[in-house]
Amino acid sequence: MNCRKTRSLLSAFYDNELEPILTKQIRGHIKSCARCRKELAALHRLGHQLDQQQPVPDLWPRIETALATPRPQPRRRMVAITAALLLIAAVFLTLDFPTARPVDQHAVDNFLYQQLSMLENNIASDSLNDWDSLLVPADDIIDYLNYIPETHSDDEKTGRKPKLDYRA
Amino acid sequence: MKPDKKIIHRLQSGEMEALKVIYEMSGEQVYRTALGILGNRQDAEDATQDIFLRLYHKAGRYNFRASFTTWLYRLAVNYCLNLLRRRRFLSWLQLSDTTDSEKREESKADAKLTVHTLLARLDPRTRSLLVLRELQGLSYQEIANTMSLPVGTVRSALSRARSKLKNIRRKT
Repeated sequence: MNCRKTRSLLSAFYDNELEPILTKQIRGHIKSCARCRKELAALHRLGHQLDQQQPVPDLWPRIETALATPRPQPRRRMVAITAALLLIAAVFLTLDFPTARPVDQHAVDNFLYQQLSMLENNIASDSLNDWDSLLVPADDIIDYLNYIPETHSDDEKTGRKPKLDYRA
Repeated sequence: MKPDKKIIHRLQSGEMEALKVIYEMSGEQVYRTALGILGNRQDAEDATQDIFLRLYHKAGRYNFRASFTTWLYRLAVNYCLNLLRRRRFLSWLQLSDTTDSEKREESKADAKLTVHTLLARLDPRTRSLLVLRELQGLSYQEIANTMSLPVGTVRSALSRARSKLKNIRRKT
């Protein structure tokens, strides 16, 4: 065991997470190497510094109160962010990248219309009170971007331009 | 921090008293984890509150496959990482509520907490690994389960994080 190898395993050695044979080899090396001993001491000092215990407040009264009264979320900000996400998606989906898969403009328009309607419904029903509601359209956009549309099997036989089907 | 099945079932059926028992068992660990990742007490207190609210509402999703501790740590770490991610996104959109003067006040307060200023030099994910190891004493396997990472990645990330922190300490 040399210094280089020891240093690369020292953190796991310090955590007692090495296989017994490696632990034994490192222990043997450290006995004879002052520099590696110093490195190990530095790890111990760092550990002590990170493990400074600080008083923990009793948060149960807060949790209990919060459970009884649901906290309202800032709705306007979430609407703004969702609108921004949709705008970004709209720009991406309508740009004509030469290497990208073909885009069915009608499907894109439908998709964006659906997302905007969903957002509108959420606002109308006042259900946009959780971050998850914001993340749903974002997740859908990502799913949509990753979705590879199916081509109709007849297209391959006839050699026609494939017809895209985005209805998953 | 190991609530028995009975308590978890009671929590899943919506008993607030069961949540209190779990808070008494693990509230401290959740708070310390949040403090380590987020870096200041106010955020850690808010996060702990929200994490327990989520635990109450999402307890039904726990399926007893992983240990409850791992599941709770995962909930806590993911909450804190998502919070930091959202903040970065909001500041990118310039919609954040935090003004520059507030940020300066926060950083002044944080400067007193040397541990947290030190941890703040790491990226949030690596910071989470170090917090779970150093503050919570989780094994590499438990960290790997919590963070959904291979054990080898945990080992190498911790080694790199410690080297970085040692260098920072030497320079300061």
